[in-house]
Amino acid sequence: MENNNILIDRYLQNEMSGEERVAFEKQLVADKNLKEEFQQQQQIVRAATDAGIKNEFTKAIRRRMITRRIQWGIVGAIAAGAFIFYAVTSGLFSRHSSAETKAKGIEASERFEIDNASDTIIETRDGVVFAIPAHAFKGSDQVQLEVRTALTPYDIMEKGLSTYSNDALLQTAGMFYINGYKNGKPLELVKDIAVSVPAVQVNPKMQLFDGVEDKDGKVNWVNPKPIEKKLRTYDITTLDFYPPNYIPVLKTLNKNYRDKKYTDSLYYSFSGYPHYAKTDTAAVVAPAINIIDKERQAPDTGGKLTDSTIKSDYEHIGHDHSSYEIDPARIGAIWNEKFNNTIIATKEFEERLRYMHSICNGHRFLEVYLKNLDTPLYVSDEICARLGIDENSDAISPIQKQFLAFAARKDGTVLIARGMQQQLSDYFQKKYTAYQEAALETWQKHEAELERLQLVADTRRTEKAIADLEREEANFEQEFCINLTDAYRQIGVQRSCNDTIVPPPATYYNFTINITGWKNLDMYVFDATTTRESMNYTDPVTGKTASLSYKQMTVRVEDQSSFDRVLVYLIPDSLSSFQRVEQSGDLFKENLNSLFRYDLVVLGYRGDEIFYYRQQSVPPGNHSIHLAPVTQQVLRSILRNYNKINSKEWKEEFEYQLAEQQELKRVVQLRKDREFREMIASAIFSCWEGALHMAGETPVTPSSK
Amino acid sequence: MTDSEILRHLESNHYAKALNGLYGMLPSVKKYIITNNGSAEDVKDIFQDALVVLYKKACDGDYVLYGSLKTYVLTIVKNLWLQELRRRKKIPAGEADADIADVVVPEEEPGFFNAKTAFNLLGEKCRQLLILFYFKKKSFREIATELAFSDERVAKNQKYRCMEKAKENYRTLTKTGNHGK
Repeated sequence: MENNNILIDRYLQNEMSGEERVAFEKQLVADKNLKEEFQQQQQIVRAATDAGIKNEFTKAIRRRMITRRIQWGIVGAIAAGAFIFYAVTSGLFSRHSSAETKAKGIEASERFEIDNASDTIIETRDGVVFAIPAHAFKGSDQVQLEVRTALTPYDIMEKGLSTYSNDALLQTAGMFYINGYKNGKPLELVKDIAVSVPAVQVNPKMQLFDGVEDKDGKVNWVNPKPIEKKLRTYDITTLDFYPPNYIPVLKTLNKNYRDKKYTDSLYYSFSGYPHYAKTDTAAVVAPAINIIDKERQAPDTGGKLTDSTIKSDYEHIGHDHSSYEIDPARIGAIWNEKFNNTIIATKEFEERLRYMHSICNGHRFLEVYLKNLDTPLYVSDEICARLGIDENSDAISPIQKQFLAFAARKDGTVLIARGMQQQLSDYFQKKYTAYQEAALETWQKHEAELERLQLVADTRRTEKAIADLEREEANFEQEFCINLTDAYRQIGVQRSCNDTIVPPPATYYNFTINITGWKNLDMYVFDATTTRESMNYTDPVTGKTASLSYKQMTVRVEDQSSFDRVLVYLIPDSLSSFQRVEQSGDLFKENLNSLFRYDLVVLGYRGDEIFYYRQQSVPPGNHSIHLAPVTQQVLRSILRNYNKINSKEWKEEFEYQLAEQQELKRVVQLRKDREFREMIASAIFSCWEGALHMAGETPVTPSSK
Repeated sequence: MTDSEILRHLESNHYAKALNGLYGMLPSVKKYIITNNGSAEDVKDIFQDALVVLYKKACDGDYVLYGSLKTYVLTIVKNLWLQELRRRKKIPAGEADADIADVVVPEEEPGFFNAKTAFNLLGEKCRQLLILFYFKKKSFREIATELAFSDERVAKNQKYRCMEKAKENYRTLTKTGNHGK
């Protein structure tokens, strides 16, 4: 097989010499199996190529969509009285009334009167939105707010604003000024104001600068801070948290992929799957995770966060198989309305999760986000990037690269109420355990039921094997008896098979022997009955001969391969039971005793259908028969007509075969189920798939080293 | 963008540029598929499949444009959609496509649907690997770097195993009689 794979590839990739090609083509003509494999491989190569082209177009389409999409978000907090450089985006707030005055001659201010005791949202003429919390300004009920904006280069030039930071020219995405007054006196800002500025596309490199006016009125921009993008939340149930390949595979297998109830229950049933799939324990052993020391170091987040605020303890991870990849139970626990209004319920998290599904031990990375629900996404991204370092290489690992790319977007937080993080974490842990336990319990029940059914089938088979042995033994005894009686009759001795004592002979036999062993007629008959072959015996005393004749009969069943099972029976007129005829190759063969007349009964099983054939007094020779469908009821009554034979045995045989057919169906279904689950498992667990484990190589990830 | 510019972009693998010219055809494709019992998901699938067919034809120089490129793409879409419907509803070939005489999409050879399915059933990493090798023609060294394998030997072994796995899927699908959706 190995050679075929490589040979075919070399042929398809044009890597063979002329001679080799010719030889290979000859081989293709001569070897049917090779040809079949060749066609399979050729088509799969084509499928891979098509998929590659499709990928390119998908990427192009996605890029197109992204550039067309106007991004919305919310900018970080600002301090009062400062001019600000910003990059960014807007919120979804309603326009407030605005008044405008002229200030500094050429700059147009917008003035707002706000009630400091309640939350207020204002929007400027050019769409900048300020969300001002209650009591944002110190000690006043009514606040006059002055806002100036300059978003376009034209505005900036017209208003004579500079874009210099200590003499270096800045690229600007716009500027704004905000200040609060009471009776003409500036007020102190004591709470953060959230600002949103509309932007066609967000440039994550944009930073927020404070503006300092010098004595000439020229503004110098100082103290740059990265702008964190506030995240918009969605109804969590509308997001897609499945592994990227899961739904496409269900679709490919023509399953009901639109029914979330079905897709959820199937997906969650894979909780801990590699652990108890028992298919290849060596393959699913989780690599030792040795990152605890590393995680103890405070993340470098510009000094804003300390070790204690970033939760990333991993002690409990890595000791069971299910922690190797993202366990569906973990997804089940967070894909829940409780997590609405958290970073989990954002498109940004959805995108990261898709990526985490595609990498080995994505679970470790997921854990970082889940433990830091109240932390900006980009901070978690940075932690993940460090987790993704390949310690054996100086180069940036692909995982590290991807998380750095996420971090560079500066995706921020969703504000969640104080204390919520802990509550949600507790909820998550509880739910996760519940899902995991439910999946395990279901699986254990399922396995127990399988074991029970297997035991039932095994017991039935054992009992049947014993009954068959007894039946064959009884058949043999009866046939031997009849043969012996007949053979004795032929040499002129009256003997019934029930005689326990051989009747006194009329005279003595006198002969010499040249081989040891029993040498009497009984033995000849015994041998003939056992081997079912003809026998001739000449009585050494009387010179009379006795013979028994066995002639071969064969049965060929038309279209036999279309049946699950075919059983051939002979019912001898002189015996009280039936004989099963053994199959040899595609024929059923048996030697018929010429002392008996036999009925031939053939039963075929296909799924739930039964097929039947019967011929009375079947002669020796070759027979080709055609099976016709019959109902169980009709068949039972036909078989009941054989009142000569032990009807209990017949009934038992028939019922046993019906049960066996059900068992066969069950086993076939079981195999199909297992195949289906394996296909789904490889869609869910990107590293579980045989491909990565057959080699006994652990996937290359930093933690596995 | 003119039709010949689009084709030139396709021939030189400038997917995004070609797509800018082709994207305008999407509404017509959508209209056709939706009015013929298709879903939004089908529109996406069929449009992408049509782009694959068009790309291959452009690269092979295997196309004759009697009308506009848009008409040509729509004909491909119709053919693909009919093939798909036949697979789903088991409409015999020839019954449903009497109105499309100029078939530009060859009927899939027997088993190719299973080959596609067998390929799609592979894990993400395997699919990436086979695409990088067969479509992008990357070396094992490049593949090892891109997919984070420790070296090219591992990449080579994995490629072998992925192909074996795909063939195994193929045989399972053929055995279980999965001939279509």
